[in-house]
Amino acid sequence: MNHMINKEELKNQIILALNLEGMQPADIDDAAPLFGEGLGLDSIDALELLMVMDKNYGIKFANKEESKAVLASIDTMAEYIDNHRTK
Amino acid sequence: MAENKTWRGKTGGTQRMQKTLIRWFRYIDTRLIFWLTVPWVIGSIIVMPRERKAAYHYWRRRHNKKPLKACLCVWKQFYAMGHVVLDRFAAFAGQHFDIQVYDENNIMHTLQHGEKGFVILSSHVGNQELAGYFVPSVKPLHILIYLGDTAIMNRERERLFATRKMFFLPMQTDGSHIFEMHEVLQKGEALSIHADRMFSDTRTITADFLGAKAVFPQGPFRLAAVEEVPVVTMFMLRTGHNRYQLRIYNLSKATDKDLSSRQLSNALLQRYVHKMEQVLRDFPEQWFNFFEFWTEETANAANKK
Repeated sequence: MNHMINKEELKNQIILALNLEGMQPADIDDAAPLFGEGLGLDSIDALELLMVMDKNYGIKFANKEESKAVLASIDTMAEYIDNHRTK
Repeated sequence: MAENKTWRGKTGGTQRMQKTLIRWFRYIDTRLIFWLTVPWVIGSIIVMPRERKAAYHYWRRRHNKKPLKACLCVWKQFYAMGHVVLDRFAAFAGQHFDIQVYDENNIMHTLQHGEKGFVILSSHVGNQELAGYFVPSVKPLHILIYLGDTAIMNRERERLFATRKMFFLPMQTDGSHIFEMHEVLQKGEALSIHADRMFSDTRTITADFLGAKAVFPQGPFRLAAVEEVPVVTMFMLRTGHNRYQLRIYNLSKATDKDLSSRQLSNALLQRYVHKMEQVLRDFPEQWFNFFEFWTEETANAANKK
């Protein structure tokens, strides 16, 4: 059975994938929006996050509306990974 | 600044003018119509002072031309632009073009017959739109566009597209077109993106280009790097009346798999710029970015406002 995702681990994966230099996991609020006024990520960052979810957790999205909702914050990502991961 | 470099994707002239031109190209010898280029060039040079100045700087600073020679080159550049625009209408009217194809290491052929999707990083050098109509096409080709053009232009494009496997992929203000681009590449199809123009609030990346710093959009290079797909660039260069040379260059290398997506994105930019420099050495007058493209010129223009 897959273990529950550690949010610190997820944040580290995001920092690494997006090359967020100088940023620590503690700097990212679990509930804060990742896009727009939050971390200020853009749509290609979103694509990189989808790649992270695919490579690390075997999650593929059927449509962009669903993926947008999942990538809203660390909390929503972690919850989705817990419920849908295949590895 | 970035605002000078944003683009609305619009062809000049009213819808009625565009419709008339297409009709003329169907029934009149095209060489006669090309005489229209002369008054068009004169008119454009007079009524487009900002574009004229940017073109003059291009010749003076990037090609080290003396003032008088630079003025002559500006004329040639506007003249070349007129021909390229008219050739677009000629294509809509069904004109035949002789195209000499240079496909580096047969890369386009290989990619068209391969399983993976691929990215074409295009530019405003030569007649890019015509390249889309005449490049050998086996796979569906999706072209990222800004839907700012007239109904006539878009209808004629769609009519031409219908005979080939070409599709518009309109840009969305919320960036959601990125997901559609991802789907295209995941399906193993081809995607064409302009990599030398900004479309509002675009993140940028700087490169040395023709001896000075210039700003490019990050998006096309980052997308290609994140997707880990092969990347090419191509240039449709006008060599005479209804004659073109299509140059296709491979921008990917076998060693790219060892690079992080950021490193690969930077490497693709460097290779893209290098190929553009190569082409502009042979066809300098077919540079059709009529704004202050280089950082130094952009800063000067902003300071004078």
